[in-house]
Amino acid sequence: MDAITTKNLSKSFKGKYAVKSLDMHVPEGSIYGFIGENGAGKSTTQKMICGLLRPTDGEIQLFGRPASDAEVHARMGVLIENPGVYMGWTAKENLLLQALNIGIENPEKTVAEALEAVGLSDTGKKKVKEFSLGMKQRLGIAAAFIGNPDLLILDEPINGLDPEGIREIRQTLHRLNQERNVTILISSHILGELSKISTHYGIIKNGCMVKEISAENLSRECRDYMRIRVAEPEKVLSCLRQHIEMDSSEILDGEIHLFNARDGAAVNQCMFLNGHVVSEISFHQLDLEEYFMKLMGGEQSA
Amino acid sequence: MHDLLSINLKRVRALFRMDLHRMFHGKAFYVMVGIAVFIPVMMLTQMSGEKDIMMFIGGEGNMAGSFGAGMSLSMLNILTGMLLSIYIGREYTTGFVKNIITAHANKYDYIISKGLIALICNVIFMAVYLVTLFALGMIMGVSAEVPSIVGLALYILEKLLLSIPMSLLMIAINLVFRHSFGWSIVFICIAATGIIPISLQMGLSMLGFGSLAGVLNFTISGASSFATLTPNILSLFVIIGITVVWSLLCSLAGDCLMNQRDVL
Repeated sequence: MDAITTKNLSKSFKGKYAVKSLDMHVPEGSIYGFIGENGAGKSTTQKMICGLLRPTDGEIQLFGRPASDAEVHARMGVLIENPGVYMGWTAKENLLLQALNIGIENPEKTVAEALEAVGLSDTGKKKVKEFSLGMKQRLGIAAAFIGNPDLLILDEPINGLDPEGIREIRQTLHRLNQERNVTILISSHILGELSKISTHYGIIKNGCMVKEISAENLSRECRDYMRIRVAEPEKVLSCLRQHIEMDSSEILDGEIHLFNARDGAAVNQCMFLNGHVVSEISFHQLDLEEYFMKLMGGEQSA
Repeated sequence: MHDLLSINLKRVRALFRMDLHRMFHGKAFYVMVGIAVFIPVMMLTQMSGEKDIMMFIGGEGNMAGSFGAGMSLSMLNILTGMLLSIYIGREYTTGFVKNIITAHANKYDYIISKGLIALICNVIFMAVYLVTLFALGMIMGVSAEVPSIVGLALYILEKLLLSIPMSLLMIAINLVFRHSFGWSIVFICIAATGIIPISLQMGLSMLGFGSLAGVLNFTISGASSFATLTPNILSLFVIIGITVVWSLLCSLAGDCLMNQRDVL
């Protein structure tokens, strides 16, 4: 079952569509990396899923039930844009409010655990307004996952965090997903980080879903290959197939692509010994960022 | 209406506990309690001439005629309204409302919780006001001719009952002006003082439409005219009826405002 399904979801502001006919499928138990340029409609989509914006059109289902269902809605934890916290209160007081808000009976222990999980347990009486951006962000994340929600919706949660903070949050999210089967919908500009934890991706452009793909299929599409430019590719490839270990091969636009052939020296030697002149030989790797750029149709920023 | 029928008391209780915790752990509530003490102190010490404690409680019927006396207890509604403005306004400016709306898709959770908080505030403010008024009056030797204890108790109960729809109206006002503290305070004062129905009633009476003006006695502030210090069970039932009808209407308005508008 999908944790989130949107059908034909649209949102317009003063007649201009921020999200248009968006179909999204976030499988239960997945970490869904939501990718798009600035203004592509990521935050708007997430806000509609959380009930913070009213869709102009379309429908949203959470765990197979309408998003308007209060029971299913209460299974969600969110961090959208800035953390919703009181700046004049301490981290503990803020989490206590959130714990009461979601109906935790004895919140003290839960709050202490959440503070520990995000590394804020030693902030004592320090008020949130005195926190660094990273600390505020961590508090927002703690507020989102307090009370063990089944679904976490995080909009740019690692913004402002230092590398150590990013690593901690990544580990926390991964643990929540693995140990408690929490479904996580996460948007981020840091595609390298997303690629470390996401099991599924959704790529949005101009308010429309361009592609949804699992990490497994993405790695298949992005797999590494050795690229060889020669005068007679068919002849060379047949020779290489006999002598070089590889998963598969193809000829594309006059180039030979050898998948999972890592020994460049052996390839070179094989061609030299068989009298083929090599114009160019290189390794090609396509990571999430390049894949995203390719889908976006140019060298644009994520 | 579907939201109204699917209220989950457990979730309302959770939100109410949160609101209550915030109220008792914030400064605003105690400032308002201080003001509730300050008002009778000011009135008793600064007012010259013949004084009676009952002057500051009101309860003489006739909405337009008793405006001055009635203001004393209505002023406490303003305090509650201001407190609601602070809470609701800050929920939106800090973004804490995102946490609330996510956990409480049914908007009546929000309205009922805030309504209960307002009721508790009204009870506390009224108690503080009356205790200060009677205690200081006794110390200063101001006479307190209570015509009937039962009448006074019923009168206070009726005022409290009418504060429920008034609070719900104020919640709706705050939801309209959630990003503008100033405007919400202006409209809360207009609602709490009953200026609009009072002016309309006076205007209609002057124009000779006295019977039409009577209809305004069934507005929230106009219903104060039914609350008198003379015990009258019929008046109590009328006030209960007015409370129920206006409470439903105002909470329906609040629900519509929350459902029809984007939160962020």
